[in-house]
Amino acid sequence: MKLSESLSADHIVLDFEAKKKDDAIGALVDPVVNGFDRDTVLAEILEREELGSTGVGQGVAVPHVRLAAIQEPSVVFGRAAKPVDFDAIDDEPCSLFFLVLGPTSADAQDGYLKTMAKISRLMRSAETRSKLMAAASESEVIDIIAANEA
Amino acid sequence: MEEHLYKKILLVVDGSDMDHAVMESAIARALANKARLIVLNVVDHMVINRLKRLSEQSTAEIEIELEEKGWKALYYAEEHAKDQGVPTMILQQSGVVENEVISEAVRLKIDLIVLGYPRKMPGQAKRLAQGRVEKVVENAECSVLIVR
Repeated sequence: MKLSESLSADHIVLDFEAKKKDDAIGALVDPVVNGFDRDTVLAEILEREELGSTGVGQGVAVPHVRLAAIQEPSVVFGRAAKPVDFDAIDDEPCSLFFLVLGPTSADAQDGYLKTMAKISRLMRSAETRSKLMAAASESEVIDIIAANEA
Repeated sequence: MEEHLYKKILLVVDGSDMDHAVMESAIARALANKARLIVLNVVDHMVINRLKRLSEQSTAEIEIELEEKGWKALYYAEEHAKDQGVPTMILQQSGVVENEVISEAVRLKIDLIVLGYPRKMPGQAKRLAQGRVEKVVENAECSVLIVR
């Protein structure tokens, strides 16, 4: 499944307010909680962040964690109203976020890795990053991702 | 006060048999130096071009396959390093391997690059891969550790 097909408008959070990493993750986690305990999911993601930031540089972060209760990868796209200090790899603050929850089972690992690869490929393009920064609506975000993913 | 030589270590993985040995070496140095480990995989344009000549797959199909193989290597390294308590970040880039390794090391202010020196490969592929490692050693602005 394409990334754009797995993202619906309710999995896109535009111009959220966050002063620090915890706020940003808190703003992104709600669409993927989906029946799980929010605090548990949040704690797992923050614990992962403590073991190394998922800010991959160039203003992008891909917080990700695998949970036993998850069957399929679940993705949220977010854009911060102001860049957030995310302790990123290049020390630059982040504005664009893909939060990914994946399953722990070995059988389902393939789908999770494919999702991570798709996000990585998409975010390597400066033009795509720039378009996502300028997108005016959730549907425009989906259109940009659809037009720029392989 | 205890002085650590390296704060940021760049581990280069390619999904080959060498990855485990290279990873162990990088993790050991990260632990000894209380350093952050940045694991990099480069989707190799030279490999894409070579596979394109040898197969009927499109460039995009080959690229996606290599990206997924790269993510497997990144994911394995991330899990392994995390289990040992090493702060770890993962990153995939696309291009000519030696150029990407050198430029990422500069961009991310890396203190030490750790990569493998391939030996168990067929002739031409081995020479190409070894040539890449030598270019990194020659042109990197930081220290380079080669694992055999």
